[in-house]
Amino acid sequence: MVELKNITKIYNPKKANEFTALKDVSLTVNDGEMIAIIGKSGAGKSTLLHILACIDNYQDGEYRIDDTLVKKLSEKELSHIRSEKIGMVMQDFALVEDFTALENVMLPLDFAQKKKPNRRELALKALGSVGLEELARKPVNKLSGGQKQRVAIARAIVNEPSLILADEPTGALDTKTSAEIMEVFKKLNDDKKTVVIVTHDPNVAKQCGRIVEISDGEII
Amino acid sequence: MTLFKTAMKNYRKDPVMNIIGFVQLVAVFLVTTVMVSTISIRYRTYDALEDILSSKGFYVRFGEFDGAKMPESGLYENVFYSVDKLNAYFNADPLVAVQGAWVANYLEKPDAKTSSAPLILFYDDELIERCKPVLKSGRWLSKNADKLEIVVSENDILDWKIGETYSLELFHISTYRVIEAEIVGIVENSADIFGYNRFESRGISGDTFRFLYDTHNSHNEGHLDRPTIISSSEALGRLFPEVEAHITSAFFIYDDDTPDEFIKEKAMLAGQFNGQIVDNLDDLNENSKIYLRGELLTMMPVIVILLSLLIISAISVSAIAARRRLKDYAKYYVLGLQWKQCAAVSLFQALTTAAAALLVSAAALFVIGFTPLSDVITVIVDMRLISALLGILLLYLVFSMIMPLMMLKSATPKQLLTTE
Repeated sequence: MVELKNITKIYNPKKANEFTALKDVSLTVNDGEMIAIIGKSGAGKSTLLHILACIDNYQDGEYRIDDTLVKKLSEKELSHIRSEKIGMVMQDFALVEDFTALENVMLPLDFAQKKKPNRRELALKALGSVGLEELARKPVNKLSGGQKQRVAIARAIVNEPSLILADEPTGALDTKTSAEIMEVFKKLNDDKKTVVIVTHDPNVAKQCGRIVEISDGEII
Repeated sequence: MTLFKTAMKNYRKDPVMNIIGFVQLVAVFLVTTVMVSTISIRYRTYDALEDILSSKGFYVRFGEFDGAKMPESGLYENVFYSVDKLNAYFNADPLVAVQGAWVANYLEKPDAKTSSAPLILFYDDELIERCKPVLKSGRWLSKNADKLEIVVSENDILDWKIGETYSLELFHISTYRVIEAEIVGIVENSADIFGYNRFESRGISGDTFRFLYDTHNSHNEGHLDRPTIISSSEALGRLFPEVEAHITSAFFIYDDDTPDEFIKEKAMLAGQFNGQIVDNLDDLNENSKIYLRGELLTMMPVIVILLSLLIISAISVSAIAARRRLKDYAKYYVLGLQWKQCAAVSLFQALTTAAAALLVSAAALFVIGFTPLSDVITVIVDMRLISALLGILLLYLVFSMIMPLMMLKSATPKQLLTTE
């Protein structure tokens, strides 16, 4: 379970360009849920997702993931959470362009603190689950947008994390491909994965079990 | 291992930048090697004698005649033919000496105005250890050989060859001896030969260590460079005990607690005692240091400017390359690496680039050795060069690790991921 309590995030604190991105945000995401976080551009939804992904910090409040208080964790423990509890999917895919699909998917397995045996097989299985096994050895810069996003999803799930976070996963894709990608997320959710999707696309949001709207850094 | 493998995979990214960085590092290593070797060449002959020159005592170059009038008795005595006798006379210990002998093998160059007998230098074991000249071919004298081995200077006229036997006609007042010697090595042209003093190289404001050596040059136009033969005084004494070789130059060294007055007295005695040149070691050492400092000061501006430019440009390229990899490091961070591990990936990449650049530089210098460039480029691999290269390597690696860390710490992964 993921629990945020009174999270406040301020960019450039005590400077002329100080900006409060999140104000007293509280949110609970139960295991196996699939929720959409929606809001206008600059509302704070991506900031919220990055805090959930343990790649951004915050000034006030508490963030617990599976009852672990994130703020008290060391850099090593945080990296462990990012590697093994969270799978992240970005709008621009965030793939290493010169690597093959397989090499990209193997990265979280390689970076994991507890190395699993048969990492190659696990990566191929993850690629298979998004229908890309035959493109495993192709450099990702040779793949289409939809294929890249599938590689990104395979990479997010290869370590079998309990929480999948997706930041505008269909933002760079056409309608048909977006629908295919959403099917993949729904399937992951069916497999008991908790999925949090940040989107400004109402069609994406309505496919999720719950919608959380954020405006000017506050959940409404 | 994972971080190292990731660093290796990163080479696929930005190949042009990687190649520029690599070529710059090769240039840095090559220039450093040549520059430091240029300094080492000047220090090499000094380094060989540094501890002797730093000791208390004096250096004497004896005149070439058969004996000395003993100041006490007024009688002539051939003390110059016994190292032990000479040593005891001057109360010095240890004595490092070069011995010589009169050689009757006169050599004439058809178009030369003068003829010249070879100069023969017998080095004691201490000198053999310290002052081996650089050989062009063959090997240095071996210990306990059953025949007299000699190393000869390269000579265009005599065309000495390794393995040849040379008959040395040695004479001394009433004795005349021909001894057979085998040529085992040929001294490289331009090598510094200890004990081959050329008087024109005496310092204006006092002798430096340069006076103790001469640079052999067999290609002097119109000049028959005196052929030089080097052998071991130990081997001569063992194989031909009847041959009398006289001492031509020696260091007389005293304990640190020996009174200066005593040393001064002995130095004056050496002057009366057929010492053609007597140099106090303190003065010789001080003059040598001034000479070396002068040489360094002349070279330093060029070395510092050239190396600084190269190092700064190599580090700048490394910084640009690191900056271009930041987005990937942010992706690695999201996927479970810590920032310090991302910096380690950068370090491994820099380390392998530097190792490859070092290998290529070494290979390039090896190849240069077979080209005409080898006449102008001399490489001396010594602690000075190793320290300089390690210093540059360390600087490069530290910057390669620190720069991405500084950049990563000043931005969030979100900022890095969204940066174009």
